[in-house]
Amino acid sequence: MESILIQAIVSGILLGLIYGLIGMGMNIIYGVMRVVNFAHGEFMMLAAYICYWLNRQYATNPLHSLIIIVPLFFGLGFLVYYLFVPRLLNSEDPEMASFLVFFGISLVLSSLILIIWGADPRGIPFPFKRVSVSIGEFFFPLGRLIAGGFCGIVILLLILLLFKTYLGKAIRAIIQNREAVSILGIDTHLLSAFSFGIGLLLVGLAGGLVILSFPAITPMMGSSYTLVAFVVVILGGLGTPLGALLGGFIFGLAENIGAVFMPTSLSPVIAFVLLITMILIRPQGILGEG
Amino acid sequence: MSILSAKNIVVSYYGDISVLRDVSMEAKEGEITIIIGPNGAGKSTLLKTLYGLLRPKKGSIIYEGKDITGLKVHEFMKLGLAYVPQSRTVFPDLTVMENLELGSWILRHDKKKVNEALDYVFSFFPILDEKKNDKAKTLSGGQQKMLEVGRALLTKPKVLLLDEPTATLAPMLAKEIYSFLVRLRDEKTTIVLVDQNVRQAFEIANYIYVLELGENSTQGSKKEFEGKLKEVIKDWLNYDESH
Repeated sequence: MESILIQAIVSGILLGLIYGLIGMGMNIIYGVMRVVNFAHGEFMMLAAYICYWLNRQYATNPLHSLIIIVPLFFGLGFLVYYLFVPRLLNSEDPEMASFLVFFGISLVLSSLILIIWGADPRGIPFPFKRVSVSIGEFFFPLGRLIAGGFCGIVILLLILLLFKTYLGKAIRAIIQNREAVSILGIDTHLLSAFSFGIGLLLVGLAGGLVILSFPAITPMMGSSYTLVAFVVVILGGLGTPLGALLGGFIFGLAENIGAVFMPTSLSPVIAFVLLITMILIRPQGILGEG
Repeated sequence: MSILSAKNIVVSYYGDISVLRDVSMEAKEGEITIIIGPNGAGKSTLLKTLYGLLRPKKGSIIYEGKDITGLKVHEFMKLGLAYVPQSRTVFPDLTVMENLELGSWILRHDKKKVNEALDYVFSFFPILDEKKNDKAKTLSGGQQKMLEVGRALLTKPKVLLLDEPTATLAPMLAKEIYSFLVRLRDEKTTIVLVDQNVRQAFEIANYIYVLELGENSTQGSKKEFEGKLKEVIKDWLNYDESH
């Protein structure tokens, strides 16, 4: 029992890193623009399908596909921003308007994937020679170890960007006061588009890594990852990028430890229980300020 | 010589109700121009319009002889203007240093210039140097105002627009801010100041504009206003009581 629990904890931390990456993307977008990206999971799913397609066409390892995913999704972020967000920011209730627009985008994306790749679950042959790594008496899935390690590096780079560069400091500043940023000579639209690009880049990376961690992808998986993103950002604190990382760990651990004691089909229940508990106890999230 | 002026501007927030009607003003280089008037006169609106945060429906904003009406807000600092609004604009969860670094955004590619600018601001407000690693939210109200003003000064603007810099400050701190503004003027910075603290603002002013109900009321040099100020304030009080 003890070894199962330890494996669940390690697995939970690795999954937490992926969840953290997804949540950090959503939190940057929300924090900077007050835009609720309800299509966050669908963008991740799109990245996973692109990795799948590249693998089918050119036998590309998903980690190599990320070289295409990163600029593609960063650019997609700019495109989506300039197409929709400035109009949303001018509306009377940007949060609600964005919720509707991105819900629409989520439907378009999942339908598009359904049309192109069909409803059957898709997967790729595992790209590495070994499926798991054993350390002493413990066995850890290699895909998840690689995905978790990769996420860890990306998160570290993101933290460096946010805390050590002018651009990152401007992103943290615009989350706190949008108008004050503009009077300092910073182009808020360009900064927001950049932030949207970062948000989609992170979720695109997560999409590429998910295909390594889980056996199959389906056109309906997007909404469950949007739920993951919501839970993670609400746990950690809406609009606080580092909070999402913390939320990711909590959710990853809860899901994996929960799976030791409960059937895996109950994992969505864990998500909702965490969500509701946090809203009741501390609605602003762990790192959020009331 | 006029460096910044508004010519016959009309500004509305919503629909057809104009907050400013045919307002004109000009700030002369190296002088302190103050804009005073009762509540709701449109003083802050005028300042926001001068800095591009609001777009006039009619009229124009002229800076150094060029029409800058309709320019985007983030372009104003590059031109040599800076603005400190009345509302709190420090980034509370960023350190004092990070706040200042963002004030030097347009200089960010030149590390030497940024350091010079920081030294320049620390020479005015040594307390910011002492507290540079503290989060801005831990500063007192007066120190936060110093941070806002200091942040606006990093680019050594030719024109500084200030909206009620001493509101909510203790009298001692307010006095410090006014003497700082005089020092800044001595260094040839043009200042446009909106203030409710009429008497103290008047003390340091070169030229005075009075706005009432969104229109130009009276204007004149400090000399022309000597002795008239009491009467002007009395008029506002009568106005406030009768409305």
